[in-house]
Amino acid sequence: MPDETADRMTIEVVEVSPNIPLPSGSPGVAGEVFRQLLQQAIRVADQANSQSVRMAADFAEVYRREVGVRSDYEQKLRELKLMEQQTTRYAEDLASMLNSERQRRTELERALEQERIANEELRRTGLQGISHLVLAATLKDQTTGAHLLRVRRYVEAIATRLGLPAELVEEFGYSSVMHDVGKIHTPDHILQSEHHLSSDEFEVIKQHCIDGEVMLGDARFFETARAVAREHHEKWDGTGYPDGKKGSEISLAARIVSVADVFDALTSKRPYKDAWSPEEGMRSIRAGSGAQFDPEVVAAFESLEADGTIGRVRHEVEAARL
Amino acid sequence: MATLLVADDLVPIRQMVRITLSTQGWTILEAKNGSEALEMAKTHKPDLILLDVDMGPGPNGFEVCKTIKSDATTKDIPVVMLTAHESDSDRAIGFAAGATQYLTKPFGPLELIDTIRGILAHS
Repeated sequence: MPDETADRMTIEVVEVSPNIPLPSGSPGVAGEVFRQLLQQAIRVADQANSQSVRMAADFAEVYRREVGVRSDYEQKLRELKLMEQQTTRYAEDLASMLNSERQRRTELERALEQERIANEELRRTGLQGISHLVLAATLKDQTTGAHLLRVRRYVEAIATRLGLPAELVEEFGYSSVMHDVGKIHTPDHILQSEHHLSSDEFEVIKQHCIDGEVMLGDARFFETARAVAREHHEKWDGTGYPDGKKGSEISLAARIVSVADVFDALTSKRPYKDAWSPEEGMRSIRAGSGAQFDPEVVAAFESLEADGTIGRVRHEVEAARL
Repeated sequence: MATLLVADDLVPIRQMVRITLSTQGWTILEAKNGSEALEMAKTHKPDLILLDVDMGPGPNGFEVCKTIKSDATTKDIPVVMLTAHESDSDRAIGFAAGATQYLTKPFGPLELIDTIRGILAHS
């Protein structure tokens, strides 16, 4: 473009010689020369004039383009400025959103913490209720209280030996304490009978499993306890009561309680029998493996007996009573 | 889910609007000038239209709004003006053209979302 402009602005130079000879003696000739000179002068003026018009037009064109470029430039500047403001506004909004988000999260965490505390309180209340239950049983019959304590300790030891997580060990432990709560409805003369029970009396005994489950309501906290109360007289081979469940139909907690409960009953003195030695009790449990008891639970129990854990529990509970 | 049409000649503005509004689950259609906006309004019948005012050659946002409001098939679509023109007289022109709301640039994402939510909830 600059070249083109330069080209257009080149002025065509018309040579006018100052030394044109005037022909002598003839005014006509002199007149003709003058006329030619004049015409030449007019031509030069004409060209100069159109050249300046052309140049003015070119300048106008350049100016027009210049203005266009400038307004394009100004438009772009406005857009940039708008985008800058827009971006700032977004960043501000984002910052305030993040801020309120953080506040919400803090509030949420606080609420969660409060809920956790409330849950813990609830759990403690539940556990306390259970220890009151054991205490009440102990007040009525010290043997029963000690029995429940030993069963609980056996259950926890077996559950640990089976590799269950600590929370389950605890849950199985506290749930085992309530396996016989249904017996509150069972008449004393049947519970303390020294004779073989009649089939009618046996029906009454069976009822304590069902009563126990009902008594423990529907709270999640007692879910395992309900299963234990209902199923702790079920047998691995399906010949137990009240439902005749077999194998893994019986909850693991009940399968564990069953072993612990029977072992402790055998090794404790009852109105109708003397206390068996731990060795005799263990032999009987082993004999029931796969029939009355879950073989894996029996194996865990045997290893606890072998490493002296069972004996230690017996002594500790005995010592605590004295 | 609602479908929204946004008309703006600036690509970054359309992007911001699209990204912001798609967080609400809305589908966003884009027009880069007034003529496109009119065409898309008629063919897609969006649930709401966002209009810039200066969109280069062709009808400006006010004119587009007026045309939409004078066409029986599109007159019920709410229109929100979204422009850097912030004077009261411009607002008056916008509302006179039939706009439901008038937002000025720079706009905040929350303000934009809340305004649109409010309008969609009423229609």
